[in-house]
Amino acid sequence: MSTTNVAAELAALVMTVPGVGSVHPVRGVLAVVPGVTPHERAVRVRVHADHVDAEAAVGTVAGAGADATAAAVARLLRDRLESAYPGRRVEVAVRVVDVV
Amino acid sequence: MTSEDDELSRVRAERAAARLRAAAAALTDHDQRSQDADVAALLETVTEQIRRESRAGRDVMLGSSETDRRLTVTEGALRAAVRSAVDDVPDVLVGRVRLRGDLDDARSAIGAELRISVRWRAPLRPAVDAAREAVARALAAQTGRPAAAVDITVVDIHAVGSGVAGDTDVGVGVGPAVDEDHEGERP
Repeated sequence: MSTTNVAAELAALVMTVPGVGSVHPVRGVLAVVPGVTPHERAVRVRVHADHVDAEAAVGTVAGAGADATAAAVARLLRDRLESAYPGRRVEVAVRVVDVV
Repeated sequence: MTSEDDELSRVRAERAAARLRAAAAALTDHDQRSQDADVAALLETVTEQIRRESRAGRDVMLGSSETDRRLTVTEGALRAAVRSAVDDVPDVLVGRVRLRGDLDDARSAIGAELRISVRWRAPLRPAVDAAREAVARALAAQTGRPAAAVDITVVDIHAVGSGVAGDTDVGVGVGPAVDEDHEGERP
């Protein structure tokens, strides 16, 4: 499965995390995977020889707390990527760009 | 700043302006003729401040960050959350919101500096205490970091529904809160 497909699948999953109110394009992702939809640009996955890194941009619900919600998103990304790319170290970055 | 950041900034500014309009409804309902000019000045000043602060700005590290897990919130989003929390405090209108502390250190405390306007004849101390508590709570809840000092300066008084606006020369607005620095801009 391509990283674009993995990212699109992850973006859909991120929307289901409690506290996430919206997803947003990751900075600079257009240059990496041109042509994908804005929703799919909410997660970027890059596979390296020894590790995988993923980045997501989300909007959170104020009552949920940006920190707790970002941590939950990070856990989801890590779990999924560790399954998708066994043996590789996983690094994740979650950026909260909006609090509603 | 990316176009996505621009769009988010616009949305945040519109949201804050809507809250401001709701808070100011009492102003426009009360003693219309005597206060129109002052109210307009107040709204213009605060709206400009909202526009300035809604920019994405720097990334603020969140408390649950680890070496292989970078969690951040944009400065603009965090300021908007703080502003929203104070909007719920009766008798208070927010001027400037400035974050303080090491934004890159997920373990350190994070504080804020606010300039506010308090309704004429509302007791200042309780209003400031309530605003400070709301800010500290919002900072801790949003960032997962301990809240440091929250410094609040009452820079003005606004007359809202007090019934005494005509017998006093109360200034309206948070003009002094608007300085010319450009905090929050990307370097």
